[in-house]
Amino acid sequence: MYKKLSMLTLTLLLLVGVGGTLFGAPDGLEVMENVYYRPSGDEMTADLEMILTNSRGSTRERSITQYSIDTGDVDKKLMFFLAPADVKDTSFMSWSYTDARDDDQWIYLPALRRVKRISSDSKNDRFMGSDFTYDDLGERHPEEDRHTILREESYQGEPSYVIESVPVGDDDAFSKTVVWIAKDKWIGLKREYYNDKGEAYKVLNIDEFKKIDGYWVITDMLMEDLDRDHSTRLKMDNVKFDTGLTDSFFSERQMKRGPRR
Amino acid sequence: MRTLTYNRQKKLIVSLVILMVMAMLMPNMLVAKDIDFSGMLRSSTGARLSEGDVPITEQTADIKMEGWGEDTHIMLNPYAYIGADGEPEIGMREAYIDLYFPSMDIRVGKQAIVWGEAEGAFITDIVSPQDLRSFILADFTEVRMGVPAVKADYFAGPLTFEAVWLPRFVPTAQPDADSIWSTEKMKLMSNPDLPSDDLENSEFFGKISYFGSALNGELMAGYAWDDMPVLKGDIDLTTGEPVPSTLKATHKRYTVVGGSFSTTLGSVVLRSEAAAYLDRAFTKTEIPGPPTRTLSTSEYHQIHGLAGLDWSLFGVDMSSQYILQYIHDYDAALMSEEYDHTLTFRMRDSNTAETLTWELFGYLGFDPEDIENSTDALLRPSLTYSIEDGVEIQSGVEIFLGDEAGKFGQYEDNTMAYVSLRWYF
Repeated sequence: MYKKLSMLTLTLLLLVGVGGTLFGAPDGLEVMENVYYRPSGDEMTADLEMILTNSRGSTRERSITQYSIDTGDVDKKLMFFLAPADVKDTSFMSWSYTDARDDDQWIYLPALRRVKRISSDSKNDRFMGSDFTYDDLGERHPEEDRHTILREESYQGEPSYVIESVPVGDDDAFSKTVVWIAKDKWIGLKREYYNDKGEAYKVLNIDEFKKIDGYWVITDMLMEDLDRDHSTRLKMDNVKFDTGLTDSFFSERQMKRGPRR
Repeated sequence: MRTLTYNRQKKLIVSLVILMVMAMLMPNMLVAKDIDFSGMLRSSTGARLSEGDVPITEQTADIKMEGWGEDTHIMLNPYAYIGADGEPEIGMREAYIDLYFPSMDIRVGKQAIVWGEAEGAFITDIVSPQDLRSFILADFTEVRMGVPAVKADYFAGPLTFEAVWLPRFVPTAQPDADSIWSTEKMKLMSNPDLPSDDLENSEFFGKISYFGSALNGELMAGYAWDDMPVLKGDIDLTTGEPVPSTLKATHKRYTVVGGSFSTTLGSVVLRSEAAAYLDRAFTKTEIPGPPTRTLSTSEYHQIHGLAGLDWSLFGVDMSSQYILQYIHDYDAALMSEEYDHTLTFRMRDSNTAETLTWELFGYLGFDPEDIENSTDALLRPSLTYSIEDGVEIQSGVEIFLGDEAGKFGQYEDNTMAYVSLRWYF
């Protein structure tokens, strides 16, 4: 009797797909959770360089120093704009909460000499005229989309899952994304963004990632806007983990004072 | 008492003092481990539409030199300006040293201090005087003047305690008598007597601020000199001219208490700011009998408040503010109005590459009891194009309209179009 019940239970588990997990084949949500919860250090410092290229091939560059900390309930990020000269000394701080609260965001404009609270209702806005939106640069929670594994294949020499993610809400700029996830590293290698007509309009390619201080870090990526023939390369340099940043660093005082020297 | 003079000799002395200060600070900068040099060059031309003249031909160089030590920071911000009269003006916008301690920052030197949440209005933001020589049209960085001050900030978690001492009073800069922005009232107030440079004439300000997720807030108090002088003396009613031997413009002391906050309501940012100016001096007109009118001063409490919203609509950044000034226990003989109502609004958007930005900023003055006759406005539409990183050209119109006795409508003849080229480095 006990043996029969066990067989039945195992059969049911396989039918509903949970058995897949037991045997090492996760579902789409689990893959994306593995990416989201991939160890990335409690705090990090990095220099970012953005190169914007338009359809005529002319380029513009932006330089940023970024600090981030994960305090458990809140992810805090502080960015200092170093170049071009007309935005130099501007800083931007965001506090993102693990609960349903909206982000808190502030900007320090040196011309105004004032830290200003700004609305966080801008996730689809482009960041500094680049092809990245604020949402692209943040950490999108897996629960914000429904995920389906389309197939498994080798991409750039990495065994990968190909996942289709459809937003649960209706306030995103895209109707779905398709992302390639490296199986053993839980890093996204490529992401295609689709519009309401089902056409890809934006593609993110990861051109370099490396292990720094024991954490996998994407250090070079290219976002291409297919509609307007424009692209933005984002490079990350001087990546450092666990440099002694504390919660108090993410403050109005530091926004005015500038990056660490 | 001292008197304002702007002659060449004084400018030369000021320039020499600036050079000496720079010479004293430079060695510190040279041993600093990190030095930065940046700035802005600007060329502007503006033509009045009704007059057909070109009162604005300005060239400005604004240089910032900064040095950082382990726990120190030096800032020098000299500038050079050549206006329509061709006479160069050289000055130091800011020159200060920061000392950083674990829980405290101290800043000593000439500095611009900005408080409050208001945009385009000065309510609790009264520490630094304003440069109103171009009315309120100057760039944000140039509207506030640096003043010699000692500022200390003590940080305790989300709270900051700030104390400011201004050893010497510096008044708001008013337009020269021959400027297109000068009014009859300003002419009467030109060359006011200033408080002597005694310690007892210092200004003091204090502020407690909170920086948190739900709310940012500030409470402040100050014991200051009023930037706007008041008048005493006689005016000849037959000519309307002051009787020179009797007229005197002076600055008076007053006490200020106030506060401000900002928070978010969904996707909207709510801002508010208010201050009470206690025992503020106002000019009063009395007519004891022809042929003269007597100007005297009386003290009243005044309330100055603001409520504002910032939001985004179809990608356009929007902002609106309502500003009220009210004189308590009002006397009809005062030269100032009992109530002063102003609305401001701002709309701003850029193309996707953020190379082209349009903006409309506007002030609207009105009296709710007589909107039809009392309303006046300043509308400031502009278009900015970024030619390349750090180089931009801006063109716009400053439109003054409405009630000719209003604070904006009085400049109706100064409605002008301008173009400005800026190079940041």
